[in-house]
Amino acid sequence: MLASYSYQWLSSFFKEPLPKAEEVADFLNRRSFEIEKVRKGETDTIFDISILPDRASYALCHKGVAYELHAIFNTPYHERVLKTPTISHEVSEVRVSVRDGVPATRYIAQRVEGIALPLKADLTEILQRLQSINERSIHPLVDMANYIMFDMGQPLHVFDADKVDGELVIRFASHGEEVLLIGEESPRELGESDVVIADKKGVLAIAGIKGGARAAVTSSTNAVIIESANFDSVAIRKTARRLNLLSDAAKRFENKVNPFRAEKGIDQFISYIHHFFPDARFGSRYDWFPSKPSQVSVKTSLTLFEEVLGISLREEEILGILTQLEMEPRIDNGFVVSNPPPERADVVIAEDIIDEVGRIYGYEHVKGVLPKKEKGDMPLDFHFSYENRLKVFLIQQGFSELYTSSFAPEGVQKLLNPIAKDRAFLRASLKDTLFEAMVRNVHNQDLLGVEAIHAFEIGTVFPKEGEHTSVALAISGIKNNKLNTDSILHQVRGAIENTFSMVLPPIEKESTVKDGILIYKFSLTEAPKEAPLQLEESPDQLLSMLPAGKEGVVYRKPSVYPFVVRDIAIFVPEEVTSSHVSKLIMEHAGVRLQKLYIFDTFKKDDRVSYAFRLIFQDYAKTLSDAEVNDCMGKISQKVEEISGWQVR
Amino acid sequence: MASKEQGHLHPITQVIFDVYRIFHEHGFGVARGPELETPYYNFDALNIPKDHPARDLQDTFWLGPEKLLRTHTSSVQMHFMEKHKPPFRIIAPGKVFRQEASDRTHEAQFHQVEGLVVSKDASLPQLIGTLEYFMRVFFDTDITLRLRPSYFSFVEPGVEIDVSRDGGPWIEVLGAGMVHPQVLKNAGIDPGTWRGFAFGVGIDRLTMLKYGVDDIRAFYNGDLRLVTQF
Repeated sequence: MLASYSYQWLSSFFKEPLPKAEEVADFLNRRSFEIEKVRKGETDTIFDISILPDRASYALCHKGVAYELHAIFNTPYHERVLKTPTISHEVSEVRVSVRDGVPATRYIAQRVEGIALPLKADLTEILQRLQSINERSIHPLVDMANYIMFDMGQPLHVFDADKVDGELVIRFASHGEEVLLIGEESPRELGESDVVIADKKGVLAIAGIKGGARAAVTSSTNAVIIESANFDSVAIRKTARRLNLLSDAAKRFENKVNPFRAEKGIDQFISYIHHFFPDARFGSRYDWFPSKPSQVSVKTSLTLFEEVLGISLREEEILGILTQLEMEPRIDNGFVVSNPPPERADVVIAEDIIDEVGRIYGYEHVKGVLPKKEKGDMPLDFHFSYENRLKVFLIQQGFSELYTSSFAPEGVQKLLNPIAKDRAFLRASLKDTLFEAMVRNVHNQDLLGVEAIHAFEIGTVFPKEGEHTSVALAISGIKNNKLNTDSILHQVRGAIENTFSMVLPPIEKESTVKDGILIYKFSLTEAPKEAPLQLEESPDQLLSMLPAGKEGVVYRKPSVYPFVVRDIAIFVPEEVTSSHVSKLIMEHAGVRLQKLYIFDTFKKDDRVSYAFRLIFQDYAKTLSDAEVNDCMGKISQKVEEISGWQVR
Repeated sequence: MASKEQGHLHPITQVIFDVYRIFHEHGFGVARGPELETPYYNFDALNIPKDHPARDLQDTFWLGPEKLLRTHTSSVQMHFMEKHKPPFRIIAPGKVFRQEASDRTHEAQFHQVEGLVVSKDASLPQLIGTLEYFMRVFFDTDITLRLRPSYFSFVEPGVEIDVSRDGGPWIEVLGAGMVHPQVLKNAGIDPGTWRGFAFGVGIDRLTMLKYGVDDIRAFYNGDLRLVTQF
C-alpha cells in the first residue's frame, strides 16, 4: 500500500534534526521500505512509501516510520508529553455492550461534553500536516482523530452523543440491515458477517470501516462519544472488500493493529481535546479488553546470523541493532532472545530476527559467493526439453515463432474477472489467435521481405478441462498458388514425425484454410508414439540443439505509419553483381528505405536486368507520393550517371 | 523444405534458452508446473493465507473458487518439492498472469523464471553469488547487485534486487530471499536440516533490458516485425 509521509512530521519525533530529506529517503529505501517518490515542496518534503503487508501493522503511520529512522540513525526520540485532563463525575460513562462472538479485540469509549465551537486554540499545525499528505479538513474533532491515525496509527471515531439513543452495542448486522454512511446518498445493505456499532434505533457505524450519517458530528455538536477500538483483521477485510469501502481505518485494521495502541490513541485524543477545547469535560472511560496478547519472545541461534547473512557480526553489534529496534535482546546460552515490541506483529520467528539485523546492518555488506555444485544431475523436465527441441526444429524448417494472447473472445473456460469483454475466455486452441496474427503479418509481407509467411506457435491451450500444450503451424499465400503449401506441410509433418517419434493427425481434418492462410494444429501432450510421457530427460539432446544467444541485437520498434512499396528494374552490364546494384540503391535511397530485396533477374544479350522491391517508411509521419518519388528519382539519377547502367 | 532461410525464435524463447544454458552450467535442473492452478499451490502453500492483505499484492485472474491462473512461477516450487528430496537446485521458466491493465511495462500475461535451491548451507551470499553469475553471463557485462528489504510471504528474509550494468543506474529486476521455513514444512522438508533460497526474475524485463525493447505488449501480439529482428 502506498502511503505519504511528511519529513517535517517525522522530524517532530526526534530531539535532534534528522539528516537531509534525500539522505533519509535513501536510507529508508535501503533499510526499510521502497520509496516510490520524493516530493520536494517549499517547506516540507513528502515521501511516498510502499508499505508491504509485513510492515503494514506498524508502519502505516508517521510513528512507525519514525521507529525505523530511530533504528537506522540511532537518534534519540523527543519525549512527547500529553496533558491528561481530570475526569468529571458530572459526565456519565458510556454504556457499551459487546455481544458474544463478535470479532473485536478491544473497545474503548469515552464521553466528552462542552465541546462547542469555535476552537479556543490554533489548529493550524495539525491542518497543515494533514494537508501535506493530502487530507482535507472536515471538522476540528474529526481532523484531530485523523491526525492521530496518521501520526500513531490508531483509527478513532467520534459520535455525536446527543444523536445516540441508549447504549452502544457492538454486534453483527442482521441480514439486509441498512446504514447510510457519512458522505453517501443511498444506504448500504449489510450482511450477517458484518460487525456494526449500533444503538436502539439501528446501525451507527460499520465497525472499523466507516461511520454512519445519523450520529456524525456537525458544527452544532456539543457532546461526543469517542471510540478507540480494535477489530479482527480478517472480519474487517472481508466486509471492507465486499462493500468496496477501503477507508483509511479499514486499511489499517485489515493489517492487524496492535490492540495496546487503542489506549495510546484515545489518550492522545483527549489531551488534544483538552488543549483545543479547554472547557471540555470528560467522563470516565469504558474499556473492554478481554484477552491481552502475550509478549512474543523469539530465540535465534547466534550462529544463524553468519550462516544466513555470511557476515560475522559481533555479539554487541547484534544486541545493538536489536536494542535500537526496541526488541530488548539478551544473550542466553548461544542464542539471542528478543522481545519485539507489541507493534511488531511481523516479528515471530528466528528468520525475522535475521532479517531485522541484516537490513539495519545493511544488506549491501552481504557479498556474493557462488555455491559449489552439488553432486548428481538435476532433473530436466521432459516437456520443457521436448517443446524447445521442437521449436528449434521448426525454425530450421523456415518457420518463425509467434506468441499470441492466452485470452480470447471465445473459448470454453471463462474468466470470472476478465480485463476486457473480448478477452473473457482462455483460448481453447491456438488457431484463432494465430490466424489473426497471420492476417496482420500478411499485411506486412512486403515490409518483411518475404513472399509467404511461415510461422508457428507452441503454447498452452485450455479446452474443456485443464490445459495442454498445442502446436500450430501457419502458412500464408495459399490462394495465390505461389507455393505448394500442402506439400510443404506434408514434408514438415513427416520430418516432425520422424524426428520426434510422433504420429500427427491427418492434415485435412485438423487444418483451417481461410484468406489464403493455412493453420495446422496438433497437441504436443498426446503426440509421442513410443516413448510415453516421462518426467525427465537428459539435457544433452536439448543443449546440443540450442542456438547461441543473440548478442548485439538492438531492437528497432516498427513504425506505426504505413509503408510504401516501389519496384525498380535496372539493366547493367552482365559482370555487375546484384549486390553491387543494391549497394548503390541503399546509398542513395535515403534513411526511409526500410527494406530492399531483389525479386527478378534476367539476362538479355550482354546485359542483365535486376528487379528490386523497395519499401519506404517513416517513423514520424505518413510518407507522401512526392517524397517517395523524390527518393526514387535520386536513385534513377545515380543509376543513369553510370555508363552502361539504365533504368528500365 | 518450407524456405531456404531459417526462421526466427521469439526473443522470449531465446532468453529462456540463455537462462537455461547459464543455470545448467551451474547444475540447475528444470521444473515445470501448470498455468491453471489451485489457490493452494499459488497461495496457501507459499504462506499466503486466504483473507490476508498479501493476496492483494498479486491481482489474480479467477476461473472459480478453486481455480485461477498462476500469478507467479513460484507455484512450481511446491509441485517440485512434493516430488523430490533435497538437496536440489532448479529453475522453472513459464508464463504467468496478472489481472491488471496493460501499458508499456505491464501485461496481463508475461514470463518469469523461478529459481529454487535447497541445501544444508543455502545462504544470502549464495543467492547473491548465483544471481551475479547469471546476470554477468546473461548481459555479458560488469554487474553490481543491490539488495533492498522487501516482502514476499514465501521467503524470509525477503529482498528486492536491483542491478547496475557497467556502473549504470539501478534497475529493479527481481525479488528473492531465503525460503520461509513454513514453506519447507508445507512440502514435508525439515527446516531444521535444510535451508533454501529462491528468486523470481521477469523474463520479459530481462529481454527488454538486453535488447532495448520498450513495450512489453510487443511480445504477445504475434508480430513478425519484432520476431524477425532476433
